[in-house]
Amino acid sequence: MLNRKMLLHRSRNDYWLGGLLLVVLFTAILAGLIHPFYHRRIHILVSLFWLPLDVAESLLRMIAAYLLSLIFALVVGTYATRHPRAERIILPILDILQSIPIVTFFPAALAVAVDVLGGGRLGFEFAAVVLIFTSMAWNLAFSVYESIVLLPPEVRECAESFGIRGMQRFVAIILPACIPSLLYNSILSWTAGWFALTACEILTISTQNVTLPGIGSFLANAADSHHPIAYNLIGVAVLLAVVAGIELFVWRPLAVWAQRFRYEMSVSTLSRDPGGIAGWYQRGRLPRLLMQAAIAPLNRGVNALLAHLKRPAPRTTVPRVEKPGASVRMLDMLQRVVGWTLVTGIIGGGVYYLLDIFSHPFSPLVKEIPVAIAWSFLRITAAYLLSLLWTIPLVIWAFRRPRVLRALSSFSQILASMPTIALTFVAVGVFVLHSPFGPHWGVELAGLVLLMNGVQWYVLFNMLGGVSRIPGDLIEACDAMGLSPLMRWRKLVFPAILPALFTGTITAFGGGWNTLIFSESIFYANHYYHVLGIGWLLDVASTGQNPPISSGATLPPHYASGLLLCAVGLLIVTIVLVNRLLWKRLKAWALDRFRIEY
Amino acid sequence: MLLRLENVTKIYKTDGPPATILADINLRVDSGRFVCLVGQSGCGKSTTLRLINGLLAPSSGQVYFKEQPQAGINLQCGMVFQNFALLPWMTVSQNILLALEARGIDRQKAKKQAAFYIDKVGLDGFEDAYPRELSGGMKQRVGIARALAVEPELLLMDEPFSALDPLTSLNLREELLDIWADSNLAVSTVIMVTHNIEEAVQLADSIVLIGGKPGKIVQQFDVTLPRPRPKSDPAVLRYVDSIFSLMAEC
Repeated sequence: MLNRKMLLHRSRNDYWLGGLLLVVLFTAILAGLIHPFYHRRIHILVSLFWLPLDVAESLLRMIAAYLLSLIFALVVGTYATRHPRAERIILPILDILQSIPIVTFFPAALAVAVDVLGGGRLGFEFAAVVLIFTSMAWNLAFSVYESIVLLPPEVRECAESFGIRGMQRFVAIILPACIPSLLYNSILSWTAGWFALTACEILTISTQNVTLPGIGSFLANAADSHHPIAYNLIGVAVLLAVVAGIELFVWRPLAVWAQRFRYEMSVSTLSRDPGGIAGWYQRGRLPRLLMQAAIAPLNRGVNALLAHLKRPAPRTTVPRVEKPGASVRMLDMLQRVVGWTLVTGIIGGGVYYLLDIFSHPFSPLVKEIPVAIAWSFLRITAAYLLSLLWTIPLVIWAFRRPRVLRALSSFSQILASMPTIALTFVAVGVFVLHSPFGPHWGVELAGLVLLMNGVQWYVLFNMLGGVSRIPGDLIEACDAMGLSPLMRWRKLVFPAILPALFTGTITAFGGGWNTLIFSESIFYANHYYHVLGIGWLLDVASTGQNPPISSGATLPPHYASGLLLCAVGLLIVTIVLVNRLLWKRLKAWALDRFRIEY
Repeated sequence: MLLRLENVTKIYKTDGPPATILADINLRVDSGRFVCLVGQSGCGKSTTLRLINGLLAPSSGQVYFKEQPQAGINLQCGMVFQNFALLPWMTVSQNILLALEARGIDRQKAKKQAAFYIDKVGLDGFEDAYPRELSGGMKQRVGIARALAVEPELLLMDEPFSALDPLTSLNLREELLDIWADSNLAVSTVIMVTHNIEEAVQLADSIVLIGGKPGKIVQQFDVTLPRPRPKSDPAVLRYVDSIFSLMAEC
C-alpha cells in the first residue's frame, strides 16, 4: 500500500502543479511533434543513427492518437448513455467500425491530409495520427459506455439522491468508474496501434510514396537497406523492447493503481499478492518508490480535483425541481455541436465521394470481389485452425503452471503488437525465395504465416485468460474425484474456456481481416508478390496502384475509388454478417451455457 | 404533517405490457415518527421509498413534503442504501464530503460537519480508510453518517441492515434508535424499508404493511410498546405474529 497520509495530502499547490504539469506535457508533445522532427529530412530512411529518433516520433504519434482516442471515447461513450436515441445509432456504428480493417480509412485520411491541410509534413502527420486513432478508438468508446451502464444502480441513485450532478458527478463518479475497463482496453488499443503503425507511417497516394520517419517505416524499409536481415532484426528487437518497456513501466503500475476504482474489490482479493511483476510493484522497495513518484502525483491530482469541485448552489429549504446545471448544459451543447458537425461532415463528404465515383466507369477488378472475399475468408480460417493447433496443446501444458501462464500471457500480448511487416523478411525468405513449393504456393504459404501473426496471439491470450479464471475449487474437485487428465480436460477445462475461446475467435478474425492487406500483397525488396484476395484488392484500391501484372501503369484514381468503395462495402457486409450470424450467437450460447458463476 | 402521499400509483413501462407496481398509495407521516414499511420482496416498498425521495416520479398521484407538492429530488431527505453505495476510490471522509459539497456547503464547514457525524456513528479514527478496508457494518455506518451529515429532516433507509450479519445489525439498530432520539441532531423522522418483521416491531412507532399485486397498503398501525423492546418480550412476539398472519393473507 502507498502511504495514505501522503496521498491524501492536498493543497492548492498540488492542484496548480498538476495543472501546470499537464500543460507542460501537452506543449511538449505539440512542440515535439512540430519542431525538431518537422524539419527533419524525410528521405533519411533506414539508418541506425536515426533509429532512436524514429522510435520517439512513432511514440509521439501513438500518444497523440491515444489522447485523441481517449477524448473521443469519453465524449461518445458518455453521450450514448445519456441519449437513448443516439445510443441506438452509435453502438452499431462503433461495432462496425471496430470490425473493419483500418485500410478502409486511408482514402479519407489522405484526402484530408492533401486537400485540407495542403499535403505538407504536418498534413501527413495528421493523417498518420488519425489512422492510428482508427485502430485505437472504438473499443475504448465501448468500454466507457459499458462502464457507465454497469455502474451499480444504487450508486447512480445515491448520486441523484444527494444531488451530485454535472461536473462533480462526472469527475467523482463516472470517470473513476471507467478507469479499470478503460485501462484494460487501452492496452489492447496500444497493441492494435503498434500493429497498424507500419501502414500508417507509409502513406501512398497514387504515384507518390510518403514515408514518415518512425519505427514502423524503419521496419517497412529495412528490406531495401544494405543489411536487410540485420536491420530487420534490430528493428523488431527495438520495437518489442519499447512495447515491453511500456508494459512494465506504464501499464503494470497503472493496473495496480486502477484496483482502487473497482466496485467489486474486496479485502481478500486485494491483499492477495498478484505475483509476477504486478506483485513486485506491490512488494519491493525500489518499485514502491517508482510507483510513488509516478502515481502519487496522479493520485494527488485526482484528490485535488475532487477537493476543488464545488457546486455553488444555495441550500434549499423546500423540495425543488432539479434543473441541469450550467456545466451540464454546456457539455450537452458542445456534444451536440461536435456530433452534428461530424455527422454533416461525414454525410456531405460521403455524398460528394459517391457522386464522384458513380460519374466514372468502374474498374474491371470489381467483378473479382466476391471470389476474393471467399478466398480471404478461407485463408483466415486456415490461419485460425493452424493457430488452434499449436495454442491448445500449449494451454493444456501451461494449465497447472501459474508462472508459465502469467509469463505466456504477457508474452503473447507483447508479440501481438508486432507489425506483420516485421515478419515479412522471414516469410518471404523461407517460402518464396528458397521455396520448394513453386512461386504461387510459396507466396500463399508466406501469406499464411503472416496472417497467423495477426490471428494466433489473440487466440492464445484469450484462452490463457480463460484457464486462469477457472476456480481452484473446481480443479480440486476434479482431482478429488480422481479424473484422468484427459477427462479433466474434456469435462472441466474445455467447457470452462469456451466463452473465452469464442471471444478470442472474434478478435482473431478481426485481426485476420486487418492483416490480409499485408499478407495477400507483399512488397519485399523491390518485388511485389500477391495472391487473389480482398486484402490485395484493398491494397490496389487504396494505393491507387495498378496491379503490377499489367506493367506498372497506375490505375486512374476514379477507378481506384470505385473499386475501394465496392470492396469495402462488401467486406463490411461480410464481416458484419459473419459476426452477427455466427460468432455472436456462438459466444452468447457459450456464455449462457458455460459461464462459471457463484 | 411532514410527508403526505396522495393516490400515488407507479407504473413501469417495460418491453411487455406496462406493470403496475404500486396502486393508490395514501400515506401520512408526522414529524418525529419512526415509520417502517414492511412487505414481501417485490411488493413495492423500495419503490415507495424512492418515490418519497423523488428518485422516481409517480405515474399518477402526488407526493407532498411539508404540504408542498414535490417535483424532482427532495434534498431534505438523506438516503441510506442497502448495499451502502459508497465510492470505492474515496475515503470515508471524502465519501461524506462529496454529499456535502454537492449542496454547496462551504469546505471548512463541510469538514467540521463530516467529522462530527463520523464521530457520531463511531467511526472516529477511520476518516482516511477506504471502504474496502472496512467491514460491512462499518461501511453501513459510513452510509448512515453520509445521510445524517446533510442534516436532513427526513431519513430514508432502504433495508439498511439486510446485508449485515445478525449481531452487527442488532448493534446498529440500537445505535440508530439513539441517533433518532438525540434531540441535538437535525433528523427527527425516519422512514425505513425492511422485510424483517422483528426489526420493524423493535424500531417503529408505526408500521405500514404493503402487499398484493399491484402493491397497496394492506394495513397501517402503531406500535405503542415502550422501548427497548427485547425480542423475547411476549408483547413484541404478539405484534410479530399478527403481522406475519396479515402478510400470509395478502
